[in-house]
Amino acid sequence: MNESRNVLEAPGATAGRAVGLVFRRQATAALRDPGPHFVLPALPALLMTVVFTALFDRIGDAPGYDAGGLDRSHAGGYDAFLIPGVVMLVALLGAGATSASLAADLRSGYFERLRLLGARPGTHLTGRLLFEAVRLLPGTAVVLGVGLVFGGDNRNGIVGLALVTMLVAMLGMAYSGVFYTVAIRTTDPQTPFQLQPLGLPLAFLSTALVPLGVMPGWAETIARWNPVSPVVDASRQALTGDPWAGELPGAVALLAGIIVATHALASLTLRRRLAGS
Amino acid sequence: MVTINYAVGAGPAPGSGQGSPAIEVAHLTKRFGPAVAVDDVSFTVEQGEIFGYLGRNGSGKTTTVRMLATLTRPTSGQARICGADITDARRVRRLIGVTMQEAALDEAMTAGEHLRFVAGLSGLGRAAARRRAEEVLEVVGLSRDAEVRIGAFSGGMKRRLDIASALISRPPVLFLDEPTTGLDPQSRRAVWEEIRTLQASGATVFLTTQYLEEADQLAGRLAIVDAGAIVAEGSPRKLKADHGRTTITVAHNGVAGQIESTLKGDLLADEHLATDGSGRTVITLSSGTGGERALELLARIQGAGISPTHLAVTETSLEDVFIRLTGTAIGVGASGSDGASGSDGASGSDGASGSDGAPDGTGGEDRR
Ligand SMILES: Nc1ncnc2c1ncn2[C@@H]1O[C@H](COP(=O)(O)OP(=O)(O)OP(=O)(O)O)[C@@H](O)[C@H]1O
Ligand SMILES: [Mg+2]
Repeated sequence: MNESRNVLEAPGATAGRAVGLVFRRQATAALRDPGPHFVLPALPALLMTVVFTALFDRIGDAPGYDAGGLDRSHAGGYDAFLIPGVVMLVALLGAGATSASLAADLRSGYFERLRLLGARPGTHLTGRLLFEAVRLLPGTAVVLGVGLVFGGDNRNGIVGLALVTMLVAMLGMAYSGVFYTVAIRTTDPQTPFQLQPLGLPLAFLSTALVPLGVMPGWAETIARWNPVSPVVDASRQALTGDPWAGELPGAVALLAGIIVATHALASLTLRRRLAGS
Repeated sequence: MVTINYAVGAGPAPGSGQGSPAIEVAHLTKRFGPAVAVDDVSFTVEQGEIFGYLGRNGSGKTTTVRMLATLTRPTSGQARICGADITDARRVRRLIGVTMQEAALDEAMTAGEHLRFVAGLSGLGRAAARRRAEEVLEVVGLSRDAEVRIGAFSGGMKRRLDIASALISRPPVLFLDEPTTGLDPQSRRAVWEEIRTLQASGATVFLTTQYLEEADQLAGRLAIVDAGAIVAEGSPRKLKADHGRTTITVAHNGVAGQIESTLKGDLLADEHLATDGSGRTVITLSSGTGGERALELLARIQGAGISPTHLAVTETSLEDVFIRLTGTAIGVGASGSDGASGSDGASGSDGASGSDGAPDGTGGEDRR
């Protein structure tokens, strides 16, 4: 066995390769356990699509209703309003599934073992982050598909759908940093479930489900500041208005900023933890 | 069985200092708050050795391994692995393979997935990682379980898989923290075999254990640690010679007095007689003596016309050495981990060794 000559044949993977390996590990685990990774995120959004379109069909007649600033003639009914908003729930409810294995790795000592192999610790966050984006795709597709069947508007065709999907993925990535930070601190594999309730105010106190005009004053104030609102507005525009107008670049920039910020926080928390031993 | 050539034929690792010892430790100390977990330990392990680190629960074994493996920063002191200072974590990590006390694995993965993951993160390409994973699985005898989920593995299999992961990058130095604790005797022997194979292929092994027999069987040299500090160091044979005592157990028909009066004038200052629980006379020989001295004394007994009903000459066990040096038995397993078990029969081979704890001044069990 000639290759055995070189003792130092394994100097540690490059960052790119390590990220790919971590991604793959997550993907394999998710395919084995599709429930929390693929199915769960889509369920609340699907439920609300069905229930809300049936219940609130006539909300458009309510005083103060304004379909998210869209031209009424284009905006159509509540169905058309709801779908691009409710799809964001895919990223908000059932979020952060990959933080479970991060916590478990840290708790069991597996992380420490992997760390000795030479690849940078941050690659374990990045690989998971990328998988968070990918795992939301099936749920997003299903919600959009069902939504269109239930009367959603899709005048921009594939471009609109692609843009909305991208926004969901980015929102999922941005939000996952919060889960990683908590998972690193607590090393509790139940982290995704424990933080689950946090998604509710983020979703409901935004323009995702109802327009600002019909909210009580306090809720409106929160919704105006909720970072989910501009993302929803961009999504709505992408699906039912002019995709490239106003909202989209701002929302993408905002999400990119949050992704960087929450992951910087997670990385810092991880570095602190590793240095503390 | 696949043989891995660890260091054989390998050029000197960059900066690893050809011919420098595998592990050099000087005054290594670790405090957790006021508590001293590792207390000023110094030792050297040459390349190709199996070095045992023997101590009871809480004696600082894991903490020592963690410091040498760059996972915990020492409070003070220095250490080098193949010449690389442990403060240079990146360099040291390329030189070592580590298994911690509790096998750290992801139970949702299969053994093969885990090893390919580890190999990939170590820097091997896809094909090389696959090949390497197969090789190390074969080394630890798990080839047929490659695609089994680790969650379905027994404790012994997990331990062997854990060792396999430490071998992936063919590190010249291996740290195995209690690799056989909790295994049944058969699995333990299998792990021992693997460790011997590793040594035969050129690896240096730093092995912590609380099993005296394991240290005795495997380690070329060993350190006995107590409360974080090394209390003795050397080959098992040397430790036994330095600190152990051979005993002669004589079973007879109530002639203890006669034996005593026969030997009285012959006993050296540190030799003594005692009677054990079954009325047998136990003669503890001077330290550093063995068979020859036993024959001398037995000749006296024979000369006095005493005929024993049964006779046993027992060489010191490492356990006797351990008790002598640390004040208590090691208390392996769940029971009796603290103290008192040093006194009787439960320990050594055929009961004879147990009785020598009592006399000799140091015998007090509540020294701690
Ligand atoms: N992270 C830590 N914080 C505080 N104290 C610690 C820490 N790690 C170890 N200790 C203490 O240091 C001492 C040595 O522990 P260590 O785990 O090194 O012993 P050990 O010989 O490996 O024991 P065992 O046989 O039980 O594994 C113990 O008293 C332990 O309580
Ligand atoms: Mg330990």
